[in-house]
Amino acid sequence: MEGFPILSLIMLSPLAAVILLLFVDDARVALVRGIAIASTATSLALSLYLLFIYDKVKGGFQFIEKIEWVQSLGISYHLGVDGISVAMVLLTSIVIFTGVFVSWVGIKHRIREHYMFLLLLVAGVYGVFMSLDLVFFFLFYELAVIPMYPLIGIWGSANREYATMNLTLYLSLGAMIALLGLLSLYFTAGAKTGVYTFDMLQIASLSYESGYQIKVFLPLLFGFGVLVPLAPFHSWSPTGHAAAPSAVSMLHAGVLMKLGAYGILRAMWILPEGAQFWMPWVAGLSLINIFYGGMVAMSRRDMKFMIGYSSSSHMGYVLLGIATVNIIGVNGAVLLMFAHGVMTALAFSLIGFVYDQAHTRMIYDFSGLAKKVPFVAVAFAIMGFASSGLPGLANFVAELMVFIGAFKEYPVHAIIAVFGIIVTATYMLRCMRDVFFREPMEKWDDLRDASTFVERLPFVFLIAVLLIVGFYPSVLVDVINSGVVPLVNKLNAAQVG
Amino acid sequence: MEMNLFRLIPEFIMLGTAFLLLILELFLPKGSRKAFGVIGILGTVSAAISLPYQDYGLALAGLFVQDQMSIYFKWLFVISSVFVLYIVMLYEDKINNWRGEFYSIIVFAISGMMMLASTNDFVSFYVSLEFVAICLYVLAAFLSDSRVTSEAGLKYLITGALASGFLIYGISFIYGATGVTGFAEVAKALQGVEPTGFVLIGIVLVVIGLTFKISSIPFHVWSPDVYQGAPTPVTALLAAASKAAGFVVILRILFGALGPMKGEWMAFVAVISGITLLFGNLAAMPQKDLKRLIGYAGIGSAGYLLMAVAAASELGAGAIMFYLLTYVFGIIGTFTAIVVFHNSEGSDLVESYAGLYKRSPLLAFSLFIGLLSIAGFPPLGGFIAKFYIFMAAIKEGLWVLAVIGALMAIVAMYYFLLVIKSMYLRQPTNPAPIPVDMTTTGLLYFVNAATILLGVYPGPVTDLVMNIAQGVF
Repeated sequence: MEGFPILSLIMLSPLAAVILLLFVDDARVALVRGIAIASTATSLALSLYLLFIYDKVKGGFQFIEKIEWVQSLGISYHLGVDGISVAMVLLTSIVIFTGVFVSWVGIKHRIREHYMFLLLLVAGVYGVFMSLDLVFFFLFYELAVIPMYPLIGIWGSANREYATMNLTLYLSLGAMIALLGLLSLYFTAGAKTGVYTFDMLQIASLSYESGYQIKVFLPLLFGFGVLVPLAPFHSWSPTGHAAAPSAVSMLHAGVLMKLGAYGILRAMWILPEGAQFWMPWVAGLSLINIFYGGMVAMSRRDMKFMIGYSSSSHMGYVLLGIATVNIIGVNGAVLLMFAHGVMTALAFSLIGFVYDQAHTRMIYDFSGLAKKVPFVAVAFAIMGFASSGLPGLANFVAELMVFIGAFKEYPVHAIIAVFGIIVTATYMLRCMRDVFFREPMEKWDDLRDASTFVERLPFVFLIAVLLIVGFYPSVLVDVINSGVVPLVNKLNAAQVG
Repeated sequence: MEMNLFRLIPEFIMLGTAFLLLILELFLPKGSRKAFGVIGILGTVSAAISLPYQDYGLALAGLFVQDQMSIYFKWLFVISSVFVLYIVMLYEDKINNWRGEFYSIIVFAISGMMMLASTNDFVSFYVSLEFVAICLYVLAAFLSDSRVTSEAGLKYLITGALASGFLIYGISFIYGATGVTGFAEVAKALQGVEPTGFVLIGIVLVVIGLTFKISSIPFHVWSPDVYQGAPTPVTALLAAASKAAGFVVILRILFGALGPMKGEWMAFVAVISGITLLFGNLAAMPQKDLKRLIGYAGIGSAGYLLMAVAAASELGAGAIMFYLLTYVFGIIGTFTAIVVFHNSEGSDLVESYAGLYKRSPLLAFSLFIGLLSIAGFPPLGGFIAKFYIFMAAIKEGLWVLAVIGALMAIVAMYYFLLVIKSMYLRQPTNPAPIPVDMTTTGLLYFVNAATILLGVYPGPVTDLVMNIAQGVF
């Protein structure tokens, strides 16, 4: 599309805020927050607008922007979105917009720097979802990972230095391995056409020998899989969640993990035969994610650890959906990425709200909070229901689609995976019972409920999104579907051929 | 036999400046020599001004060549020279018994490096190399009343002399096989010839001899001690300019003169690169002294650069040139900050940097940018450079090397993040702010901006180096 560079604006809005914040005095907290809110609100409004102006009938990559960056090596600043990216961009906007408010409440020192890193990270995330150039894809991917280091290291809770180093190194290792695979693609594609370019559209339009595809898909799967996190490369994730401040956990579980799944989808699109070869493995590993994550979540007493492991369990469903390689399964996976992103952001913001006052997150430290903080209790219950896949909330639709898709391809896996829901329901309901119900404790008499506009806004907003998508999923599914159909068709054609 | 001396004008300007400084030393009373730094910088700037007016071609009857590549590297040396001289001016305050020769020897060393960039013959190469080496031996041991410095200087001298021996021995073998010493003539003589044992021994010895200057295996041992013990401006000179000089020589000799034999040395260089990568990065992990840490990290960087050498392609040559530019900026920013910090605190230990972000946001930020660029974090220049090196390696199918490089990049992240952690995550023990004067502030801003700009908009420089690389073989 000529003219209005909507994608660049969405991405540059947080980046512009970072540059603006460089020149703001630390003490002017209101201005700092104002800038952060204004920039994320702009991105959110534009992302919503994008959802409605994206041409679902036409499908494919739209709003393409391309500027030569390094001419001699065929690198360009090349943006474009398909249905899948549109949904992911919207998710990112929702989570960061609410995250800014959560940080308003939760972050008390070095506020300006906190917002700078947070917004830098988000710019990276937007970039990954929009890039059609492999170099920029990688660059943005790293830009999304590296700010995690100071974000957890400076504003995190217990064990933060270990957690942040572990996380940064693990994710960077994944990125480096994926980079080697991407570079190999560049040279193989260039040798075929004689034109060396990092243009993803160009590289994906060629066909490669199956042996090569199988070989190169592996580093990409590993590289992006680490971020999902695909078992057994998940150990960085729960420690990172637990140590991170609330807004960072929200982004981390809500959005960053989706980068990994998104990367895998793109790799599948480029290397369909390689994907077909490895997908049964992914399906198998996804069960480990679902059950191992679920079981560990059940055994955790720290609520953040519980949600952290629960996230890797839920990402198992996403992986299972992706591995089905059929239209309904992949649609379900992408919708679940969205739904889980919103749900888990809600979970971390709620836990963060309680932790900031109580300074503990241990389930056994609490009892009967519903009497003291009814609003938080209700929001937490809705989150728990969403997480357990109750109808009426977005996660139900998504998980249902994943299961329907999985029954077609991997019936045994699907039957096993369904029991994962019971595991989820068990720890969610138990946590709710122990923390919010039963007898109230005296020591929590001073606990304050979310009462101000700033405190309530993120919770209400996230719940509203879960409900809207739960009752009217086609607002998203239609768009996602326009991106999924060509992808699945290409993969199925590769299987036949 | 054309002499074409005007092609040596930049070198002459530098040499003239150095002699002027030597003579002035005689006439001035003892005391501060800061004016020498200014004169040195002015001389360097005049040499820089003459660079764009240089035409390409041979000089000194073919011993010397002026081409795009030599001009590119001379720019690197000129930039390093200005900043190193400036760092000396900062450093001088803290040293008793300061002697003005320090400035002139640095300018001599830089002029030697500029000649190295233009050597076109094994004879002129060896002479220029020794000229630079002798200057650096003196500089490394300049603080003769410090035991650490004396030890560092001695180590540097002994390993350097040994490496020179390897080089000259190797060169004699190559001369024996070809009967010529000019790089172009050697390449011509080796074109299409089956390699004899004579040539192979020559190549192996030359490659080993060259590893001294770039501080890679097997002549790396001097590097941590000298980086730690030498006066900090000298460490900066060794890290930035001297390393670049080593690699321009490698491009001239391995790619140029011995290019036809690349099938023979590629695997050898690849092995050296792999071991260097592993050693430098792993040994850097437990270091407590920042200068020593950078010394080991410098070995690691040599490993990456050798990875591009092992690729033996135009892309590899371009990657080397890009890497060195980002490296020069990274090192300069880092060492300027180190000197300012040392002047105030008297320590180079990583732990003494605790909470630096509170005491001097600018110093902390400069170290942040400099170190992370060397480590290869996006979107800084060093990242793009490392990216190009990986490209070159993958293109030639050097998968094992690329995977080692990828793993070691993570190790490098680890030890540089430890420094960042100390600066940003810890609280200072002494909260007094560290003052940074106006000129230093300006220079640091400039260097940081250059590092970021090379990462965000690498297009023009990339196009330039890739164009230069076309003629490297």
